[in-house]
Formats: sequence, structure tokens, C-alpha cells
Amino acid sequence: MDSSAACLSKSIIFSGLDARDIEALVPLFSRRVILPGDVLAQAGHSTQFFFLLEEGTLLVAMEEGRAVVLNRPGDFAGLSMVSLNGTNTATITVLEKGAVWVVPCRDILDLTSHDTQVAEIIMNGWQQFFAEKAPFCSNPAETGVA
Amino acid sequence: MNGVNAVGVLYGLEAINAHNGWAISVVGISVVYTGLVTLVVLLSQLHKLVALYDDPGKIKKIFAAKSESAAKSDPPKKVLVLTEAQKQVCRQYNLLAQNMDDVISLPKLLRMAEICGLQAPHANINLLIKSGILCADEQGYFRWDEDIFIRTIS
Repeated sequence: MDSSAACLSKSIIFSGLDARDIEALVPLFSRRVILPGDVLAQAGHSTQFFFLLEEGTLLVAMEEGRAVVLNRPGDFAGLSMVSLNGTNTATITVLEKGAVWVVPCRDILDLTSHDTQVAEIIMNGWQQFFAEKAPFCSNPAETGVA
Repeated sequence: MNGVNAVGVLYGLEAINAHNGWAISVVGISVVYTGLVTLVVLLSQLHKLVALYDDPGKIKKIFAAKSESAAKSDPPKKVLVLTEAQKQVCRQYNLLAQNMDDVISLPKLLRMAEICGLQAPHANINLLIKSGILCADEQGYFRWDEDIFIRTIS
């Protein structure tokens, strides 16, 4: 993939959006190359960014030793999977070299906090993705960021 | 004599003994008891038959689930072809995994690999996941697939 638009279209969370809405999201994302061992987010620290996987593999280490492995293009390490009330609840570590699209968590919060069709589509996609990847976690409807 | 009158006809226990009465009694009791037990079992399962009668779609679902499980269990998983160095890495992580519980915490396995000084732990754990040796369950933990491990390193 050579653009965030293509990655967004592949993502379960954002694929329900039309082309115009996806194009409106593109400026929010910035590309970052990742290497094995990189720590993208540390549990206990304040939440700053969410990550949309373009290529590679991420390990999302949660509480009680549980973890989720994200390795499909379009997988999203964000919202309530990694954050609660502005604090990271998970540590995101890179297992395989690749690239992610980084988005400030505040931008995603603003997008999903309004009562719009875009917000509804994103949250429906998020619930589907969350149920598939982390069925052991509760409250997928929460955005996770205060 | 007891049980025998003047004509020679047997009465009481002597008569039972003479005509295999005890054997007949045991057989009779066994038949009745088996019949009662069978009836009880059938009655206890009757609610399932009623449920199937109410929802015939369940019958199709049962057969569909069986054919899916047969399809899933029949073909063996494809084994990734590894180099000798990678196979040695798998053996090293097998030793680590054996020191953990039945379910493996992936972050803990990663920490143990780092503490033990194993090279490139992140890339190697990714290799174990891609090869299918480490499989995720639905509780956020992983298990070591011994069958795939043996076929991979052989």
C-alpha cells in the first residue's frame, strides 16, 4: 500500500466509510517505519497516538499477561484495546519490520464523539474488529480516551 | 419328607429347586429391571426429541457442524519450511515454553527470551506465530502446538 487511504479501505473499522470520508481522514495519519523491538506505546503512560497497521506485526500486551497479535493490513491498535481514560492500558511492541500509520488519539476521539454517521460506522466497525481480535475484553463500545 | 406328599408331588422350596425356579426368577428380575432402566433413559432424553420437533433446523445445523469439524480435522496444517538455524531457535523456545503453564503469556515469553539472552526475540516469536507453533486462544493467551512443532523441526 502506498497511501493511508488504501490502508483505511482495508481496515474493518474504516472500510464502511465512503471514499470522500476516507479522503477526509488521510491528513490525520502520518507514516512511520517500524522495526522489531520498537515500543510504540507503553502501558501506564498517557495516550498520545493510535496506530493503523500497513505492514508487519504488532504485539499488544494487555493486563494479566494477555496479548493480541495484529498482523493484517488495516488492523488498528487503538481505542479501548490500548487505552482507558487517557492512559495506555497496553504496551504495543513491534515483532516484525513494517510500517504503521500514526494518528493522534485526540483526532480519533473528536471523530467518534459526535453523533454522526461517520462516527457510527467507525464504532460499528470497531466493535466487529474488537470482538474478533479480543473477545476476552469487555466494553468494546468505549472509545477508551477521556 | 418335607415338601413331598405321599403321592410324590413336590411343594415349597423343593419344588423350586427341582424346576430351576431360582434361575427363572433371576432372569425375570433382570429383564424387568433392564426394561425399567431403558424406559427411564428414554424418558430423560425425550425433551431433546421435542426440541428437534419444534425446530427442525437444528437437525441441519447438527449435520453442518459435523461436516465442518470433519473438514477442519481432516487436512493437516501446512508446515513452514525452516532453516536449520530457525529449527534450533524453535527448540530453544520449546524449552522456555515448557517452563510456563499450559497456557503461554506471549509478553512473558518475550521477557524470558530477553532475560535468557536469546537473539532477536521479537523476530523469533513472530516466526513461531507464523509457523503455527504458537497459536492464540480466545482468552488472550497462546498454546504451544506440539504436533506442528515436531513436524516443523523434523
